[in-house]
Amino acid sequence: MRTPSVILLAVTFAACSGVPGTFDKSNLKPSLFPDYTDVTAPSNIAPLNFIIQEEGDRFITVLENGRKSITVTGKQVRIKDRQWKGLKKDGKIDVSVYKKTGSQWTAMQPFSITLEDDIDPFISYRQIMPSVDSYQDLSIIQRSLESFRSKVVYSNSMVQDLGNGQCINCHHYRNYSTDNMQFHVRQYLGGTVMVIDGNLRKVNLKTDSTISAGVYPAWHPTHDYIAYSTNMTYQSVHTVDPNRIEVVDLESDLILYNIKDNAVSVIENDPDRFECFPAWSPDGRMLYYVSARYETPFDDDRMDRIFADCRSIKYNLYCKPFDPDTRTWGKSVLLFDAASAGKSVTLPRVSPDGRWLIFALGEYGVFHIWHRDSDLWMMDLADGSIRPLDEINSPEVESYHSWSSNGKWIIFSTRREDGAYTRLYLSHLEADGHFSKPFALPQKKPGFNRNYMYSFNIPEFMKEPVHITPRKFASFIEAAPASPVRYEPKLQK
Amino acid sequence: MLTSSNKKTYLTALGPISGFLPFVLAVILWLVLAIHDGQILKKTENLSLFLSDYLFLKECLSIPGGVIGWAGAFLTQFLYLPWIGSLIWILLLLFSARLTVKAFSIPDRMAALAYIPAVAIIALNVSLGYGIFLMKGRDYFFSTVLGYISALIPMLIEKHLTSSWRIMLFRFVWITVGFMLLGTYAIAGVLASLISGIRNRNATVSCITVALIIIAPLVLYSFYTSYRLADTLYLGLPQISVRDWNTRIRTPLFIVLAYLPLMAMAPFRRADGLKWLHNGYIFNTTCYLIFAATVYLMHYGELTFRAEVAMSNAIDDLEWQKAVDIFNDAAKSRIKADARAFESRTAELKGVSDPQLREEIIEKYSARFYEPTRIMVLYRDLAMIKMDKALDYAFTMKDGAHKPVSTTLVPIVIQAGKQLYLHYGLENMCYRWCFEDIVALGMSVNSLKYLAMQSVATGQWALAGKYLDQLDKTLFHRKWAHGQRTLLGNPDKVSAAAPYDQIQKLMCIDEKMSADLSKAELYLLSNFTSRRPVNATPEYDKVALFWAMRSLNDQQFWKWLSYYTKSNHVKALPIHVQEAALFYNSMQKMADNLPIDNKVSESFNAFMKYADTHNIRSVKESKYPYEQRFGHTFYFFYYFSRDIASY
Repeated sequence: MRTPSVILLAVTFAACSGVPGTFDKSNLKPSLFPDYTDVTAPSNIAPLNFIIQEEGDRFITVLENGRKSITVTGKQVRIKDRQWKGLKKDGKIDVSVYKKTGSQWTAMQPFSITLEDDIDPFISYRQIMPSVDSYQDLSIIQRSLESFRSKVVYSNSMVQDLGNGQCINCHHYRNYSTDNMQFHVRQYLGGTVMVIDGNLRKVNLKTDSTISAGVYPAWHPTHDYIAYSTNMTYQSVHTVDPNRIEVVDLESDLILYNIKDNAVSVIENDPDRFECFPAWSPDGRMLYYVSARYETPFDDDRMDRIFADCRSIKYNLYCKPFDPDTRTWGKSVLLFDAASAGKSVTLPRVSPDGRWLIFALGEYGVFHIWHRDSDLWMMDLADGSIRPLDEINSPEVESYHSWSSNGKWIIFSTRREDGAYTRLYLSHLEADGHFSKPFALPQKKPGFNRNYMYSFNIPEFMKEPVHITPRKFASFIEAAPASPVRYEPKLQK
Repeated sequence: MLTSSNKKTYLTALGPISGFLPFVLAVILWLVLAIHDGQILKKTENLSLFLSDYLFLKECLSIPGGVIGWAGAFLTQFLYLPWIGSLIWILLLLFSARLTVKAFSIPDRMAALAYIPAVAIIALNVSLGYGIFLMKGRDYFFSTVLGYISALIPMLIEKHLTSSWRIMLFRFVWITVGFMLLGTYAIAGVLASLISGIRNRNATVSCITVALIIIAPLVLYSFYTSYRLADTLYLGLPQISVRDWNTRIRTPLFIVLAYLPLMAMAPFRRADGLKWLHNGYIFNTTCYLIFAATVYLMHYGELTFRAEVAMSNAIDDLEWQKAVDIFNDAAKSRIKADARAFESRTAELKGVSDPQLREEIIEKYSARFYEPTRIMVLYRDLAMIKMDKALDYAFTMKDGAHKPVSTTLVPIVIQAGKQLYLHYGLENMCYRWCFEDIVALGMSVNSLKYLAMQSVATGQWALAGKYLDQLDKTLFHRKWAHGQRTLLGNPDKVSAAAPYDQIQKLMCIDEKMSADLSKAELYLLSNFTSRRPVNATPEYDKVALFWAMRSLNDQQFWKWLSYYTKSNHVKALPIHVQEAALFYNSMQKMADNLPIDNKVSESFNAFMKYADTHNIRSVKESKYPYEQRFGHTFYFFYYFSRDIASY
C-alpha cells in the first residue's frame, strides 16, 4: 500500500500531464452531447466538439492517437483546429473522460472516433423556423464541413418588405457542383433562380398546360434537363396529433425542363395520381419518383376531402426509363408497393454508384418531415431488397437525405433531439451495406443544436462553395423578371 | 453632465419654475408609467427578450444597429418591475437632454429645446397602444433613447479633437464601425457634427465626411444579408409588422433624427443668436407645458386596452380571479358615465316620435355606453371556466364587442391566441400561434413560455427543456423556468400541477385537420360545439355546454346539457343553465320537470312580464334599462348580445 504522500505526489504529477493519477473505473461510457461515442467520421471533418452530460465537479478529457495526445478540462470539450488535424492523422482517436465527484476521480469507459473516407467539403441547407404559415425569415446557408464556417447563399430578408413576403426553397445542384444550381423564390418577385454554367437565369416554369411552376427538382447528371414535380400544396393543423401539421398536394405531376430550349414537357400527369419527388439514376437513364392513387372530383370540396382522407393517401416507389439523347420515356415500373404494406414512400435518392436507393417511409402522405413515424429505408437496386436503416433511425422523424459525391456518406435531417427542430446528421456507408452510428453535424459550440431556434432542412452536399454572392442573387432577383417557358408535348417511346 | 457650478447658473438663469419643471414632469411621468401604465410596461417586457448568451448577441449583430437592439433588449427586461424599468428609462431621457445641452451648447434661455427628442421618444412609446403587439424586435422601448444618446457622441467627442485629421479619422471609424453597431443613429450623429462644424471648417474634411456618409453604408451593405438597401435609413430604428403603422412609428423617430442636423444649424449657436429670449423663463416654461400637453394628448389611455393588457398579464400568471376583478373594475368605473349617458339620451328622446330621428339620437349615444372588448370577454370567460364559475356567474357580467380604438385592429388570435388555445386544450393551435408570432415579430418571453407550457402539457420533455433553457438565460423568468423544469419527465406531476391539471382534461378532442382562419373566438365556438369527442371528459362537457350557451342555439344547448348532466352526474343545475333551460323551454318545450330554483323562476317571470310591457324596439335603445334589471341573466345575454362581431 502506498503512503499518502506518494499518492499525493502521483496525483500532482499526473495532474500536470492532465490525467488523474488515481481513479475508479466505470464500466459506462460517458454521456455526451452530441453523442460522438464510437462514431465513424469523415477524415476531413471539423472538430467533433461535445459536452459531457455527467454529474461531477471536474472533468478531464484526453484525446489521443498513439502519437499525439491533447487534454481538455471542463464539461465542454472544444478542440482547436490545429490539434484536431494532428489527432486525425492516424485514422483513429481514443477518447478518455475522467470526472471528479467530491475528491474521487472516475474514469469513464473510453471510446474511439474512427476517421474514414473524405466527405464533400460543403453542404447547404435551408434555415427555417418550425412554423406553420409564416416564412418571413428564411435563408439558404452553405456550411464548410471541414471547419465551422457558414455563409448565407441567399436570404429572403434581402428582398422582401412588409406586405411583400417571399418564400425560398428547393436549392439543388447539378452533380454537386455550384456552377449549375437552382432554387425557387415564391410570391414576391417569384421564379426559379438558376445558375447555368455560372450565369444567372430566372424562369417561370408554370405554363397553361401544367398545374404549377416546378417544385422538387432533380437535375439530370449528363444532359441539360431538370425533372420537377409540379404541386398544388396546402397545409393544415392537426387538432391533437403530435405531428401538428399536415402538408398535402391537391394535385401533383412530373415535368421535364429542357434548359437549352427553355421548354417544359410533361413526364407524368395522371389526374387520379399524385406524382412527386423525382430523382435520377447516376447514368441519367432512369427517373425514380413516388406516386399515390387518389380519385376524387376536381370540385370546391376537393381540398376538404383530401385533408379528411390524408391518412389513406399512400405513395409507392416507381421508376421510369429515359433516353436522354432522344428525350423519350419508357413505361413506369412499380419498384416498391408501399401502399399494400400500409406505408408511404417519399424522397427517393440513388447512391452515386447506382447500387443503393434510400427513401423515407412513413404511414401516409408525402411530406414526412412532419411525420414522426418517418424512417429512412434502403433498397438494394441490385436485387430489389429493402430494409429499414435501423442503425440510423430514431423514434422521431428522419426525412430528407443526400448522398455524398463519393457515395460513402449520407447526410439526413432528423428531429431526434427534441421532436420539433430539424437537425443534420451524418453516417458512413460501410462495405457491407450498413451504416455507421449517425452523429450530429459538428458545431463550434457543442451546445449549439440545443440553443439554436431554427431548423435546418434540405441538406445537400457540394464539392465547392456557391461562388455567386448573396447580393448578386438579390440584385438579380429584384431586377430580372421570370422569363416564361415554352410548353412542348411529351415524347413517348 | 451637469456640474454643481453650472447647475447653479442654469437654475438661476431659468428661474425656479422652469428649472425644476422638467424634473417635476419627469416624476409625474414616472408615476403615470409605473402606476397607470404598469401593466402595459410589464406586457412590453413579456413581449421582448434578452438572453445572456453569445448566440443572442450574434443574432443582434447580424444587422447594422444591432448593438442598440441588444442594449435596448437588455434594459427592456427591467420593465418587468415597472417602477424600476420606467425609472431607468426616464433617467436615460433626462440624461439624453443633458447631453443634448452639452453637445449643441444650448444656452440656458433655450434649455427646453434639449427635451424635444426625449418628448418625441416618450410620445412614441406612450402612444403605441395596440402597437405593442405588433412591434418587431421589441427592444424599441429603450433602443430609441439609447440610439439618440449614441447619436450625440460624435458631437461631444469632436469638441475635444483638435486637428482636422483627427476629426477625419474619428469620423471614418465612427461611420464605418458606428454604422455597423448603431445603424442610422451613427450616420445621423456624424451628419449633425458635420453641419455644426465644431472647430472644423475644413472643406476637404467636410467633403470626405459627406462621401463617407454616402459610400460607407453602400459598401457595408454588401457584407450583410439581413436587410434591403432601401431599408438602410431605418437600421437600428424600431420596426412594426404592419404597413399601416409605419408612418405613426416613424414620425417621432424622424423628429429625433431630424432634430440633430436642425439643431446643428440652429441660430442660437451664433454668439448673438436669439438674444431676444432674454433669460428664457417664459420660453422654457411654455415649451415644457407644450411638451407635457403633447405627451398627455399622445398617451393611449383607452380603458379597455389597459384592462385587456392587465387581464392578459393576470392570465399569464394564472391569476384567474384577478383577471375577473380587472374586468369588473373596468365596468364599475363606467357605471356613472353610463347612467349619465342614459339620462341624457332619455331627455333628448323625450317627445321625439320620428323613428329616424330617434334612431339617430340612439346611435349618437350608443358609443357612450361602456362595453368590454371581445378579448376582455374571452379572457373573463376563460378565467370563470378555470375557476369553475362560468355556468353560474359568467353572464352576470357585461358582454359586448367594443371595437378597440386602433389604427389597425389586432386580431384576437394575435393578441390572445396563445393563451386561449393553451388553456382550452388546443395545444397544436397554441404551438402554431407561438411560431406565427416568433416568425413575424421575433422571439419573446411570452412565446417561449407558451411553447414551453404546450410542450409540458403534451409531454414533450426534450422540447420543453429547450424552451426552458432559453428562459434560464433571462433575468426575471429563470425562476419560472426552474419551476417548470421540475415537472419534466413526470406525467403524474404534470397532471396534478396548475395549469396542466385543467388543460389536460380539455385535451380529449378528436383528431382532425382544422384551420382557425385567424378567428380564434369562432374557432373555439365551433370546436366546442360541433361534435362531442369520443373520449369527452366531464370537464370538456361542462366547457362545451358553456360555449353552447354562448352560441345562442337552443339545439346546441339541449344537446350539450344532456351530455353535461350525464357525465357530471349533475343533481342541481348551475344558475345560468337553469335560466337557459327555462328560457329555451318557454320557446319550445323540450323537457318536463326541470330542476329550477324558485329565485330563477321568479326572475324569469319578472323578465317576461317586463318584456310584455317594454317592447324591445332596438337592442341599442332597450339594452340599458333591461341591463339594470336583468343584466345578470342568460336571457338578457340572449336578447342583447346577438350579432356580436368577432375579429
